Amino acid sequence: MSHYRVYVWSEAVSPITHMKGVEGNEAIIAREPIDTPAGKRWVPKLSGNTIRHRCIREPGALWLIDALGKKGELSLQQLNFLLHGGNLTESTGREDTARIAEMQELLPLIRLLGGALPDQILKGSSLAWPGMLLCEENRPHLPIPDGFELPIESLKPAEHYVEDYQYTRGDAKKRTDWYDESTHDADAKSNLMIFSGQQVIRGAVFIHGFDIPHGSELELGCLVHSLNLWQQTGGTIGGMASKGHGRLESRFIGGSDGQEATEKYVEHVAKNADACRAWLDKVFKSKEPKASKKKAVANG
Amino acid sequence: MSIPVMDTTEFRRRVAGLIDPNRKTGAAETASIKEEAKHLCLALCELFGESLDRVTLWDRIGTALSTAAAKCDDGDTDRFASLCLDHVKADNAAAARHEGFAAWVVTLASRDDAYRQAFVRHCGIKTPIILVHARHAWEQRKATKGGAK
Repeated sequence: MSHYRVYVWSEAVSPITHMKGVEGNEAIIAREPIDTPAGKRWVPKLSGNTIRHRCIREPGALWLIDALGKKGELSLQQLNFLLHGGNLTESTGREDTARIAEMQELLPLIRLLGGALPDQILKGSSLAWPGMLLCEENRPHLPIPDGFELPIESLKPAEHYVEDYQYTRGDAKKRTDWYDESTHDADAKSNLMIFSGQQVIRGAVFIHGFDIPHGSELELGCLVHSLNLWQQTGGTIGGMASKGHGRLESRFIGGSDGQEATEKYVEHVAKNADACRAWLDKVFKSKEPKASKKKAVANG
Repeated sequence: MSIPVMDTTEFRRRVAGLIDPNRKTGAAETASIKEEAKHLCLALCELFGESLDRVTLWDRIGTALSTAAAKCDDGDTDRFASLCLDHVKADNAAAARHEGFAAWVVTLASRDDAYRQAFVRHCGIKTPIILVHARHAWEQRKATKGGAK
């Protein structure tokens, strides 16, 4: 067991719209307060939760389902467990150590991320850091490996990277060749909804990373493999991906590319596919309904 | 495809691109930028095109500042001023004769790129506040001129 730490440099190659919420019809980006010598500043961020889901769980789980040949065959509970962490749904929980031991051996993705079986919480080993904007305000806190240094000069301020966008819905009524208003409600009006929001501009850089305390090479391989898959499929994060927002291009800062660990992970899944499928079926096996007391008494 | 690994040299090169080209503007410089923005607005008031309705004076100067700022992110204040003049339909000859505007052009020309860039950015993000100060100064000027008559 070792402590693995991965540092990632992710550059926005399209506007990032990772939102906090909506004010009126304007979407506001997620920010975090930071204490600086000039006072408190609200700096854009990517939450650790979104990084964990979009960069590891989703690509990792989709690949695993495919590798196990279970695409389209999983129950909703199984799919939610693998893709979203699942839910504790049974009234009585239990501590089945044999089941955990089996999972630990078979499924590095679950060992890495944890999840909730219907009757048992599984702890994950990985710690995802939030994405910190590479800006002057964040300078004292940026996680950078030893040997890598920031320049003495001031970095651009956080606000430099924030801009606005605005979209509007078109008016189908103007397509007279496709819409004959005389045959429909002549008073009908289109709602030309204007919606706007904030974005972190292209070129901004987020520094983030992952810790795997007391982890194995298989967990590291699973993490790197998932990150590779995420990048191969566009590296999207945040909202509005359908409109061209939210793409990050990533690089590891120092260390190795984890190729060897990745190969070991892929090999492990192929070798244990049958056992993995059996484990998934076993832990999500529907229980026999309990006979009610009244019935039991009547039968007795 | 594997995610590439960045070494210290590449890291240094990439971070160098994120250094702030604008040196920190001190309090005196910030105050000077505010003054220059006000002077430009006062000149635009006097050069406001006759074909336009003067009721729209401050609306139009506001949009002149914000649209020009959006187009001159590089800190080209000459182009910035030209766009503002166009927007308020100023007469070129009147602009050439206008002493206040000429003084503004000379002042901005004597400043460095960082200052000019900061000026444009200030006009883009603080337009309503610039208009408040400019309108106040404009009213004072009118009152002074009226008193002198």
